[in-house]
Amino acid sequence: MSLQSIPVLLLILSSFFLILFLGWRYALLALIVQYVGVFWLIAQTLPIGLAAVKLIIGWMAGAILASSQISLGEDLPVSDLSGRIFRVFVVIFGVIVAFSILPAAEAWIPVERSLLSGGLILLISGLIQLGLTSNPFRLSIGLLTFLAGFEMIYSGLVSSVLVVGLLGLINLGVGVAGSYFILSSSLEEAA
Amino acid sequence: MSAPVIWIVIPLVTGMILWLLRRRQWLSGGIAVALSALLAVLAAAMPIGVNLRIGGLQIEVGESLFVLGRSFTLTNNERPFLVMIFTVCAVWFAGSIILRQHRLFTPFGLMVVSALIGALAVQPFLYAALLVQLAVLLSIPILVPPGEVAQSGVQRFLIFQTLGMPFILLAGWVFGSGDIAQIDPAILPRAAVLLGIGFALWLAVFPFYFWLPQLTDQTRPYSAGFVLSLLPVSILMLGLDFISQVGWLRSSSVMFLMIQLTGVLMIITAGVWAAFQDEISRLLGYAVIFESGYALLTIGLNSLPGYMIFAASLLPRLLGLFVLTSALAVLKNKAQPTDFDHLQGVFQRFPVAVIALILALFSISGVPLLAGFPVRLEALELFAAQRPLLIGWVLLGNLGFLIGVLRVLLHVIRLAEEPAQNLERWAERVVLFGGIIFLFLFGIMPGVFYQSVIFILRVAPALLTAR
Repeated sequence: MSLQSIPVLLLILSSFFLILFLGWRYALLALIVQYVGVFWLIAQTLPIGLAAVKLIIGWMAGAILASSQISLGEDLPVSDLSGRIFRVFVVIFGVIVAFSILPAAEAWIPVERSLLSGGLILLISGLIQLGLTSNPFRLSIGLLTFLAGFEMIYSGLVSSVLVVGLLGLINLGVGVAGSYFILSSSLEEAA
Repeated sequence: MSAPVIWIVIPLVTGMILWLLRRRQWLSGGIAVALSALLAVLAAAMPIGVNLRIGGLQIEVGESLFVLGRSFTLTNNERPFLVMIFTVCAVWFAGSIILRQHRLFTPFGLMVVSALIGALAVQPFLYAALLVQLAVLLSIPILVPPGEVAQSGVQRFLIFQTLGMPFILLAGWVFGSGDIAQIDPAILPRAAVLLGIGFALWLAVFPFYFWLPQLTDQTRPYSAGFVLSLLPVSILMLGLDFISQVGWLRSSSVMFLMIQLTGVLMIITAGVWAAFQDEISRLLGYAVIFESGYALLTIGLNSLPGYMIFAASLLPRLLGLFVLTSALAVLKNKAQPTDFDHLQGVFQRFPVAVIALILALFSISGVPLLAGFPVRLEALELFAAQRPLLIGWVLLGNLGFLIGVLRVLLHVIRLAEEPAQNLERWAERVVLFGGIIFLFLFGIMPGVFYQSVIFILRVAPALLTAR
């Protein structure tokens, strides 16, 4: 097993956690691990400073979401045993799909294999999360995962400071929008 | 001073300042209206890139603003579009004061406009997708004011718009990465497919549009109308800019056929669903889909007359949606439900709003004498000449939408058994009367209004050479 497989394994592990365990603590922990994996892989193509921007912004977005969920004071809906079994199979299926479309994706997108495989895993994991929930917290985590997957692939293609900055702003925006979704009903009346 | 500072940075900064002034709604609304009107006048009167002498003062408005090694460029070609977009904003912001919209409407409205103009101005154009995404994120507080629950429609709006961004960026990377002749020819059709999926997600094209009626049903109609007026129009202009800049796309007849067929499919499905709709707020969503269908239909013609009809149709589209959502806002402000079961007596309580609502819907359907009719007629004539076998399907969609509107009409004219009090305010009536007058003016004298808006096509200059 090469060193580059470790971040890909981290991403698979974080995807399992994000889809399987629905509590905000697990989600935050998985998100932290996920962005470590993202940072590890992106640092191969982008300067370490720009890769660190993605790590920090990802953590910040996760922290914003988690703190909003805490402020709301409501527990997230939990999944029963059959639901968890279903989720396990969905994640396994997602990972299989990611690796099976990898050769075709390599022919299309000229980026390093580890970056592409990690990116595809997160893209599919994000889509699965978006498809399995209507909860604002889970939905925002799903969007962040999807965006992280795309950013990994895109960083192998374009290494512009403006792109990194704008994508960072978008990630943060998704975090803030998710936080707003969670708390909007408890905020003061607008008019 | 450069043009991007005037039309991108100033609205953005003003929006932020107005957010601080959000408690003083009249003041923030007034500033937003004045600024939008001023920027529209400036875009109409002030050439970009030439020296201006005002008294002893000499001003040169440059075309570009450089940020982190990339440029935002606005030229004289973009001025007609700037005039249109800021005029629209001035009208919507003025309406928001009168129709008592929430405090975040104008501050975030200005920021959304700034991001959308930034998307049109940024070079290379592949960065535009990021700025559109920022505009989407900034429109969330417009759609969900504090104190209200973010429902599934808004959540799906965010999801689908976010999913569209990567497709556009990847396609932009292929088409924007230097000389297209040096790219592997097998890659180009795939990139076009990515581009198509991206724009389909952004524009809520069939089958990605089910969130749209949900959004209009679950949010305030005026807010939804504003976002759904600005965002699709700007994205369509961005699409034209994309096609204009990439010669391979311009010469792809398959792509234009796909655009056209998608447009037809949107018109048919929106029309058929509209015919069975029992909730007027959801009908607003189908109206947006219907309008986007016609926009794609005219773009898909890939001819100068087609592009001209597309440009001309933006005015009735924007006006129709403004009048429709204003009328709905008047009803919703007084907690009037808009489903068919609760419309009895609504005409007695809101006579002007109901008339405006019906006329706006008729205009969108393309009924004669109203704003939408001349452009619908031209679009159908052009389409019939190019694809006579498909025109029947488009007419079927039109008929479906018209049936939906007639069903609304039949329900709103049911009178209450006991006479009801008129609940409209005079200021609301002024807005609605103004809209009604323009619906007729645009319909009776289309040449006067539509010829000027055609100049917005300069945003995509290469398309003006189409036959």
